[in-house]
Amino acid sequence: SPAGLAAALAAADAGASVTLVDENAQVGGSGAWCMPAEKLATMAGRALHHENIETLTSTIAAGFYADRWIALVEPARLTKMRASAIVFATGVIEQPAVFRNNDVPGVMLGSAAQRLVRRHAVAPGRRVVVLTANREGYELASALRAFDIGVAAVLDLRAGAGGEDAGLEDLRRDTAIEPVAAKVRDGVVCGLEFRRSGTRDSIDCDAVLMSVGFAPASQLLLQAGVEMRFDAALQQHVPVKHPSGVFGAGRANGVYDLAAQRQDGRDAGTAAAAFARGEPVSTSYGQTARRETVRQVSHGFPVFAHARARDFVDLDEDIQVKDLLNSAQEGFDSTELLKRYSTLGMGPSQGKHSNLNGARILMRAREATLADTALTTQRPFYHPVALKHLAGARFHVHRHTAVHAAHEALGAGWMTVGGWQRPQYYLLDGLDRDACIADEVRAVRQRCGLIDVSTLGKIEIHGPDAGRFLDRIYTGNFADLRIGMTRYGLLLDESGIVRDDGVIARRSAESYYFTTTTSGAASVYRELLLWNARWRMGCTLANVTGHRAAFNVAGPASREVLRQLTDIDVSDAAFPFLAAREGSVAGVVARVMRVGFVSALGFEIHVPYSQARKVWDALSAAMAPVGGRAFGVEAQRVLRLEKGHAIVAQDTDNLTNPFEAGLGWAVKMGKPFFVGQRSLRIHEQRGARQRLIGFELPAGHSAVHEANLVIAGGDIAGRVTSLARSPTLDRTIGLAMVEPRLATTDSLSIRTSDGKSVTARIVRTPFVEAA
Amino acid sequence: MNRARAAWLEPLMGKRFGVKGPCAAEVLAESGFAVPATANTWAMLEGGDAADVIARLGNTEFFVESRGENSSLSGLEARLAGGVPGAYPVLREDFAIALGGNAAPDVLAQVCNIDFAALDLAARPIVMTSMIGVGVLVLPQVSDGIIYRIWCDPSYGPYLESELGAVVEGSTRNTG
Repeated sequence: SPAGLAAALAAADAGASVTLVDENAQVGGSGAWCMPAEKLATMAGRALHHENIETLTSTIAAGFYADRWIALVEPARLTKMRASAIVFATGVIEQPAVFRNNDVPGVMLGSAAQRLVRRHAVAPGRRVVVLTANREGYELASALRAFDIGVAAVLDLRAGAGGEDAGLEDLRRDTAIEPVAAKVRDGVVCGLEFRRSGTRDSIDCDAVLMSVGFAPASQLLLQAGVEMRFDAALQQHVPVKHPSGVFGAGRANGVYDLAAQRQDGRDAGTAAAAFARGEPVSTSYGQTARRETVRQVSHGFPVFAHARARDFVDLDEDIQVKDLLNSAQEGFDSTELLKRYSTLGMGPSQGKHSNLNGARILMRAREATLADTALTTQRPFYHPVALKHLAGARFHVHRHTAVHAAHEALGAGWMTVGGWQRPQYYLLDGLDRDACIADEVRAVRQRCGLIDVSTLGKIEIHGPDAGRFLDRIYTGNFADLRIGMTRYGLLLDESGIVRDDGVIARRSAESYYFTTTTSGAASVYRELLLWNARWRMGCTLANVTGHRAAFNVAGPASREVLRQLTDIDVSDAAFPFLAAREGSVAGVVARVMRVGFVSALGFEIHVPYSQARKVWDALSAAMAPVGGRAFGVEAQRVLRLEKGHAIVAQDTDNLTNPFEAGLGWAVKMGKPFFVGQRSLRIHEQRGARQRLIGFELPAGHSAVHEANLVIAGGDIAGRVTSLARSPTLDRTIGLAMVEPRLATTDSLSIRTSDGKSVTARIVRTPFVEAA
Repeated sequence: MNRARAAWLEPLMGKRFGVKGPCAAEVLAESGFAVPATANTWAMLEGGDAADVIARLGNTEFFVESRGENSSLSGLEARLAGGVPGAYPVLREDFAIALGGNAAPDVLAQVCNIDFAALDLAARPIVMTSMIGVGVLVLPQVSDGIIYRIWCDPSYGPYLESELGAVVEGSTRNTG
């Protein structure tokens, strides 16, 4: 645009390195028809040859992101550009009038006619009617006549128009008209019927060119955080506050007169260059140009509904005036709701030609004005971008544990958990998936199993306040935890909802090592850092999740397997349940914790990543003689379900507090403080809204799935959170989160995916006590 | 890997070690390390070669890599293992790789948002950023051209190596 060109030149003259981006094939934008050709050529020539200006034509700035990061869509590529300062001279988008048959060929925008004529040497018609409400309509009529295109009439919506028709005295000019309908023959426009002073009239033509107003091309401005308000004098939203380093100029700024546009551009360019140099910039730049040149270029309500409709507001979606009135009547009476109810603005043009008129219609129906509505910020990209620009290398981040290759060699079927690739189960020749999982479960229950749990989050905390810090973070007590022992840690959010859990081991007076869930590792660590920064306690945190591998050797034979490889005394007396020891396992310095997540006897062995394979191989070899085998995530889920252990985020959701999940035993409400305690007191007073209970299905039932609903009295009363076939019990068992009143009954009614009901028996957990 | 290529990757060997805590800088200095004065900068280890570096990742966090035996490092390890208030050892099992060649800046531009060309290498910066979705440490070092030493969590190593390798291969093809 002229303002953009002026801004680029001013900034470049001030020494800034400037990139001038124009969506047109040649720089200058609307200057192609708004400016004298020689003036445009001079400015464009200067820009093209200016040593400080790089020009990108046929390029669309399609999105604005944080820190002045702009996506530039060039014909053959997409460039990500971060600028020190940006001037938006994005101009305006001409808006159509709404009247009957405004969708037929031959009815077009005045600026579209200008482009046809000047860029493509195509006449929009032989006998055209200009329907206008501003000076631009008269300039259009003059321009068309200069190209020997017949102008049948200039029909002005305004009553008091005048002084803009110099040189058009010989034309038919009517004012205060209202279009009634475009006349149509053979599917194209053949005339315009209109009303003037209560009388109907019509005029024959082969094109109706509309120049009734504009909407600012404000998408990038809004994405950049520019605050805009409706200016009643202009009948347009204009910027009133720019974020740091973002500047606006030209018609999007409400400045229409050519000289003023150029001045506005120069002001913005100079300000942007100063900002880029780190100098202070006045926030009131550019205001003068607009105030001095204000004139109404947009009609306030260019909408002329017709009793027989076909008065299209949105040409993409075929939305007529009555559709929007219905929407308002149905109560969808904000612009956001109206859009969703009617699909206004959801077509290819994304509301560029329809949102403004749609808002006008809605506001009038609500007896309000455009000043009462805000502009919608469209998400980037605001302009359609070819997929070829976005295609590229596929970067799917994934993590491998240290013994990934060993899993592969064992025939692991993979699954992705929290970005990690984990063995779901290990395929055995001749067995299907379910049989393999059952075999793995039996191995753990009867002999010994080995699972890679390296994906667990692993965090260390050191310092004199480490225990007190954990006391404030977790629901349990840790400052009094004995050295060499572990304790279950339950983490809540501030609203008392179960957030994560893990095992916390005390290594020394001032040092703890603890685990988090696989998917919670990064966020829990981040949150802990945040709390540590806020509380300023004497402790230091380190996330060693990826740097340590961890294996769980579980089952009745696990002690004997581990005993062969370690210098740690693993006898029950020396290494009781919940104890933590450090020593050598397979010649590698290891941290070992006695845990019981999947079995009564089990040891979690944590070792450095680089030495993990050695330990895994040694454990595998040691358990082979007793019939031990590796087991995957699916078997782990069955094993823990048999033990009745809930999994955070599977058996709990974003509304579950610990009392409801059966984890009240891990909450020490008597402590002075822990995160979520205050909310938990309220939860405690209110009473549980749900309870996690165990159930088993009658023999032969297999149609129930996780997430199936529990029904009571015809209403939803809960949901199945976990379900598995227990090879140990030879039954299907599960956990369900249900209304508390159901927890004390004997049975549940579960609605299956195919709409049938299955009655399940409520049973106490754990389902399996020993092993 | 052929260093004559437009861009190349080489695994980085060495011992890695982390120290964290309010007294970390003090303990490191006492142990004979030239502690970088400001965060996100690095220094060479005294008595080591160019590959032996200490990086300051924050006010209270340090990362050390040494290719050979380094007496300061072994002394520090032993001291910290005994327990030093306010300075705690951090296990560093990082995946480590070096990127070099004339096309290395082009590779970095494709995989990372940081403009490495704008860095003042004389200030010895070390950058913590995201590279194709992975949190990495990048240390640009002038050594027969600029070599970018990259470290990340070892579990991301196979992914980073494979994807970075593909971009390096593409850049090498494009630049002949």
